[in-house]
Amino acid sequence: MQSIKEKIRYTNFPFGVYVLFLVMILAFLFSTNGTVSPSHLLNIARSAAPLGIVAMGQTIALLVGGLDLSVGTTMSMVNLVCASIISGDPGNIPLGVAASLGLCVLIGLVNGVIITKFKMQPFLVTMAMSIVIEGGYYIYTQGIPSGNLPESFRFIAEGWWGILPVAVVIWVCLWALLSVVLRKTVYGRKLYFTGASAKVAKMSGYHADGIVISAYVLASVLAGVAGLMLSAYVGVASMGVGTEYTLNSIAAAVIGGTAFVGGIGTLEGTFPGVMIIVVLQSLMTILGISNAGQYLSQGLIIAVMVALNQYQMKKRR
Amino acid sequence: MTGSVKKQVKQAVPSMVVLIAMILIASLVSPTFRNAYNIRNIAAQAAVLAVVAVAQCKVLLIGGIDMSVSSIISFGTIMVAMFSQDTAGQVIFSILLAVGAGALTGLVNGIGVVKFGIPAMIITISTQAFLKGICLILMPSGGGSVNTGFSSFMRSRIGVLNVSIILAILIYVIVFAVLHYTRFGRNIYAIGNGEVYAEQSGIKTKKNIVLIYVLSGAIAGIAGVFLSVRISTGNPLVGDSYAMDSVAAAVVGGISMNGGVGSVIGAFFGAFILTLINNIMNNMGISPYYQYIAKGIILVASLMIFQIKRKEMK
Repeated sequence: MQSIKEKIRYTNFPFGVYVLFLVMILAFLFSTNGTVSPSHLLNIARSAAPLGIVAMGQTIALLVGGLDLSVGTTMSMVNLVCASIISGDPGNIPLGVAASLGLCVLIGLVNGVIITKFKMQPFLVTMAMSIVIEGGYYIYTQGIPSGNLPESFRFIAEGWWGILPVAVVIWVCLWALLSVVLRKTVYGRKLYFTGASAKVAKMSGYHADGIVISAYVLASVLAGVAGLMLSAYVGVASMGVGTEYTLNSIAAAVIGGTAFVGGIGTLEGTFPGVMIIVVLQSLMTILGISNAGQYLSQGLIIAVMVALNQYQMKKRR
Repeated sequence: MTGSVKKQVKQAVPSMVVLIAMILIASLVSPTFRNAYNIRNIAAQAAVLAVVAVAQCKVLLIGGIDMSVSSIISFGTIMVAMFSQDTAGQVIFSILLAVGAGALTGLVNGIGVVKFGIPAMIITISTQAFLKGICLILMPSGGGSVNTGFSSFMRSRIGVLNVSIILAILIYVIVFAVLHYTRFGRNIYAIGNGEVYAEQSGIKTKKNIVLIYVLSGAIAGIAGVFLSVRISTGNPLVGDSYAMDSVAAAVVGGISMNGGVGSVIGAFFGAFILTLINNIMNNMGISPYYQYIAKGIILVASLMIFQIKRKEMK
């Protein structure tokens, strides 16, 4: 018993967020008078998958002490690029996916290299990058998005395997994979150490810059995967589908206990963070304040959660 | 210690040279640029951005950043459009509402930074999102109307310049004097150069930082009033681009993102440079989509150039 207590005390597993998540679901069930079935909840989880994937990327960027504000526009770009390349023909799917993810790798590389080599603030670089991407896809489409996605591609967002939505399965698999990478591999440990102190990391004799760059590439690629899934969900090319995902991904990560100072946070916390946001937003859609409510909740959640995190860290010291 | 006024103003010289070069080349090449109507138009356009840039500039000088200016501007246009229809009293009331809301947002930002230790970027992004939500509740899409007497007063011209740009210049003169010739201004530079040292030398850093955020919010509210006159309506999304543009204007004008280096004059030149780039690209018939890319590249490039130059200085 004692040892279990000790273990719980010193683990970084975010129990508090899971409690909050349960409370949210109970509140959701009560406010809809129990008319919500489990399959409805699974459906909500299905629509949460793109946010879940991009939030994992954002968490990794936050872990190395950075921030990626270009994930939202990256998702929009992937939607436009893959839809226009595939344009309804299943034969073009490999090309479309490869082109989209290739662009994402490039974006991540540019972000990472500029941030590390020129020692510039991550938020400025990624925000400027997001403007450039936005301009890029406006020029690419000339303001008129075109193209759609075939049924076989839409399966990754719309399909069901038995009672499980395919999107949720993909999300959880990616989560498991990345979680193992972060917790059990040398690379994952290096990510945490670099975020905790870039200076010490450099002194320990590994390429801290390389780790940071790889984190931005990962964040961009995960945003790309999320963009593909979102495209499969939407089914057609559409302007700016990813815009709200930038702030939502940050909010999800900070709800899960990821700190802005770097080196603190887990993917296990980001998962309930994502679900809390999505449940909250479907609650607001039911209440009929979806658009404005989304901004209100984003603002409130980020401010309050970061303040709480900071307060806890101060107490621990 | 980079205390002397001269040294700070020097940071603005590159932007001044660029601005003059741009004006000379553009007016030599293009007759449409030269004509008085276009120049008045640029001045009127730049007035809003210049006012936001002065707000942003002060926050950057203490090493912070204020992303909430965009929503404060939108909120300002909505206030003026909703409440200023009839009498002069209503106009004043609506302006007070806009400025007051800005100051309140700034207060929240400042307290978040000082009391809770939230990074400036994060707290101002949250207040930006929150205020945008309120804007969307008040006015889901653009609408309302601005008092015609008020807008024609703001648009009326004295010489070549209209009232709004003259007021903007007036704001600059006041802020310049405050920053460089008062104790408060000195404190700001001291905090920007090293908050811990400033605290140790007896400056009430926390009070000063909160005050800066409040002032920044209030000035952004004024910018919102200026913008409402330009567009004649209220709009919940019209301010969105100003957060980024104001940072870009300040950075182009030689204000360091790390705080403590630069002068507001630079922000003024920076605002004009950005406006000119838009104007020249429009005159040349380049698709507005390229302006996004130009803006992003200019921001990163000027940051890089200053970063490299300042590294050499040390």
